[in-house]
Amino acid sequence: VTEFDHPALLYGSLDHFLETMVPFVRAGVDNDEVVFVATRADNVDALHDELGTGAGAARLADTDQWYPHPAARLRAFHTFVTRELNAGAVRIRLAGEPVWRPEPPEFVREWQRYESVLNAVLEPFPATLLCLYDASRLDPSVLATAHQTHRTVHLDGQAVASAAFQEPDRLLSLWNPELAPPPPTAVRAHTVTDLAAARTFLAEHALTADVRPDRAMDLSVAANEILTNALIHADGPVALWAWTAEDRFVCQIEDQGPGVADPLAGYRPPPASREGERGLWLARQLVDLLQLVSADTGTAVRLHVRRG
Amino acid sequence: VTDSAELIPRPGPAAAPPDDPPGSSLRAVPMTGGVALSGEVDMRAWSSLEVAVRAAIEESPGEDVLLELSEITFIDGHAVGVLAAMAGELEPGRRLVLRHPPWVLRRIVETLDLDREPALIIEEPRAG
Repeated sequence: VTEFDHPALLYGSLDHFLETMVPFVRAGVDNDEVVFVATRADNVDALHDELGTGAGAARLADTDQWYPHPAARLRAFHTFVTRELNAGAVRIRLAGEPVWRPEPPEFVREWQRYESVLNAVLEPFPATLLCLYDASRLDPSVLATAHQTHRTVHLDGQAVASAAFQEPDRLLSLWNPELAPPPPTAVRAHTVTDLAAARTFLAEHALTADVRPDRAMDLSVAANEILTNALIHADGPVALWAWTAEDRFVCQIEDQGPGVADPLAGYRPPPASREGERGLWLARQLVDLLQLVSADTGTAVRLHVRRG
Repeated sequence: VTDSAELIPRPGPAAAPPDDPPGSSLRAVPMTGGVALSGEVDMRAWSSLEVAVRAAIEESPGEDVLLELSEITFIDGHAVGVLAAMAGELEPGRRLVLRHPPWVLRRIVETLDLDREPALIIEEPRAG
């Protein structure tokens, strides 16, 4: 089988998890596939015990430690697959559990968007990626999205084609954020045509808001990429806002350019990313969350980094 | 005198081409085996950077090209991509050596997977 396969497993208990995952790993090892599983630490331990020597060269990782950020996880999976295939692997067999934390809804949504994007980004590769959802703990609304982002869902020991599945470009458009205007407390930069001044503006405000210095730098690098795109493509003025929102520091860049038509812009790893998308890819990688809302009358990009 | 502009000393480095917008803070000083760069490399300095590095590449045919970056305080994704592309276009055996680059350059190289370019060498990166 040469195509990419991206099913979801909705497991209701540890026994159910092991019933699917033990044969999944063993079959991969027996077929000489490269096998890698990122799941919760308790699942890692149980799977390890159950597999014993049958684990072969399979690698298991704690999902809370292995690139626990949607954009970083996407890049890590892509790098893993391309590196192993370049090293001579015939097929890659992955399982991955998204990291669901008690976070603001837009952060949870980004994991769901990433689940959808994986369909497009790993599509060229001979790989299986089984996504793991703990049905006993997760909110039904989260489980419902697994049916939208995976063509096949393993449920109660059966693989079922998902009627709710949607192609990533369609789903990402449906899931576009609605951004309220910057709050009254937001500070607006005087000028953004001077990029050095805009970077200083952001770094200073981020540091004042207790953002770690390395993260303040990441934010200002990311914002510089978005501002650069805006200054190149936009006709009218470009605006830059900054504010704090609970445990986050946020900035927003608004332009009146022709807009970003592609819902997957900045989600495709380089070099597959198109010219002009590389800045958006970089920005998505460097901040905790990047939200983009675009129309043919302009674009707003909101960047979030955690404080403290 | 018909072209008085020729008599007025131009501000900035001689290498700066006219198509970079005003305000570029990039300075380029040729040195043995390469060029020393200082300032900030954002969109205003993209073509200055390319001109300066290309000149250094042509200056020392067949040899590694050294970019001394200890005085560079910022560089953006496009500019790092340009450096990687120029490294990739060198004849086999030649390398583009980035010495003392700022932390931001390493961060971008890693995030854009530009470390897959074998002719792009990073030496003694800075922490800040």
